Parts: sequence; C-alpha cells; structure tokens
Amino acid sequence: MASSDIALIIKRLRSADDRTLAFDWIIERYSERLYWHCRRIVVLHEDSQDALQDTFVTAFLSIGNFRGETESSLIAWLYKIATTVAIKVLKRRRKHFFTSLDSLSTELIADFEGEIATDADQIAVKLQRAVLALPTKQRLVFNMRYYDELAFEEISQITGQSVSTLKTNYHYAAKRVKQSVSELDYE
Amino acid sequence: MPYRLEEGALERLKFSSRVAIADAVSQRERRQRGAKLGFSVALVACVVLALFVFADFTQTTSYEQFLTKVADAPMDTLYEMSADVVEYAEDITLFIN
Repeated sequence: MASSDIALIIKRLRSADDRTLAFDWIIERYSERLYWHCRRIVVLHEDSQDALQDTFVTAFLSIGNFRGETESSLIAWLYKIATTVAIKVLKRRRKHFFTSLDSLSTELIADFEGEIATDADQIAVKLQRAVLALPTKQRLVFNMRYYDELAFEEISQITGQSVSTLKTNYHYAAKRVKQSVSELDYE
Repeated sequence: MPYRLEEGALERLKFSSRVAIADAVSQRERRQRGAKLGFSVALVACVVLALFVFADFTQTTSYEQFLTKVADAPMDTLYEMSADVVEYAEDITLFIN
C-alpha cells in the first residue's frame, strides 16, 4: 500500500468523524492475520474470536494513544494489543493465579489435536505441535518471526523486549522446534 | 495453517467485530452521558445546599430586625411603627403626649 494512502487512513483514524470508516478498512485488512496470530496463541477458535473482537474494540477506543505514522507502526500497535489480549485470554484458562503460562503447553497441544483440519498438511501439524510445546516467550517470538514474517525490530516494539533478547529466544525456539519435528518423524 | 476453520468464519468475525465496536462506543457514550448527568445533579445539589447554608448563616428573624430598629430609632419612627400595629393609633398618641 502506498505511504500516502496509509497516511490518509491514519489521519482519518484520528478524526472523530471519519474514524468508523477508517476502522472498517483496518478490520477488513488486518482481521485475517490478527485472527491467526491470536489462534496460534490460544489455539481454540472461540478464544481467538473473543481475542480478535477485544483487540479491535480496544484499538478503536484507544486510537488516541497511537502515535505512529507508518503502516509498520500501525501493524506493530495492533499486534501489541492482540498479543496482550490473547495472553489475557490464555491466563483465564490457568487453574491457579500463580501458575505459569508455560504449564498450559500440554493442554494447548491437547486442544490442538481437536482443532486440526481434516485436510491439514502433516508437516504443518508436526510443526505446530512442536511450537505449542515451546515456552510462551519463545513461542510468541517464533510465531511472529516465522509465520508473520515480522522484523525483530517490529517484534521488539510489540513485546517490549530488546532485539538481542528476541534473537536469542528465536534461536533457541527454532533449535527446539527442529529437534522436536525430527523426533516426531522417528516416532 | 493446520487449524480447522469453518468457511465464512472470518467474514462473520469481521462483522461481529464491527458490531462489538458499535456496542462499545454506544456503551461508552451512555456512561459519559450518565457521568455528565450525575455531575450536573451533584453540582445543582451542592449549589442548593450552599444557598441554604448561606441563607441560614445570614438569616435574621423579624423580631431581631424589630429590636435593631427600635434601639436607635427616634420617637417619630417609634410612633409610626406602633401606629402600624395598633388598631387605635390615636390612643397611643394620647398616651405618648
């Protein structure tokens, strides 16, 4: 998309009269990728549906906090909200307040087994099982880098972590995923 | 992605997101209107209360006003005042003289 077009959309987002129309465009353009981002975090369709709706509602009500001027900054802002909301949805599933999110891995993999499409590619299924077994921080970085193809700088804006930390997390995540997929091949 | 997703689910999601935003906006407007109304009512109540307190603070009874008037009044005024309340003013005139 041309930078002048996105500048116009951002300008409209900041105007109370044009906001709804501009936001329609955002929903149309980013729903799919934000939905899959949420789904990869929470796994269940109903949970991703709730997360996506809450993401858009939060974004619409807090559009005044958005300071960026580029599409990349708009995407990073939306991803940041979506990630926060999806993590919140995931936290609700914990049995105890102090339980780590990482302990949900087994439950998420079990949920995933019931959510696999009948015509799903078996390699993609294995990969997803391996990704769901990762600790949450590594899983988030891996998803955003591998599936969404975001730059480390963009992921840094979303998660608030430094680029070097993210690169380290991604490195370990990729290593573990490779190992898990090859182990699954031998089973 | 290897996840199961019904056909048209994303379109339905876009629609429900728009509805959710419209709901959230109207809810927020209702809350803002409620807050404004609440503030106005509270403000009016404060003003009324302040007026009552001020009125009570500055209030002097008609008896007190009468005493103040009587204290420094010349004889003529006293006569006029008593003539207002006494039915037979001429009797008073006789008595004073």
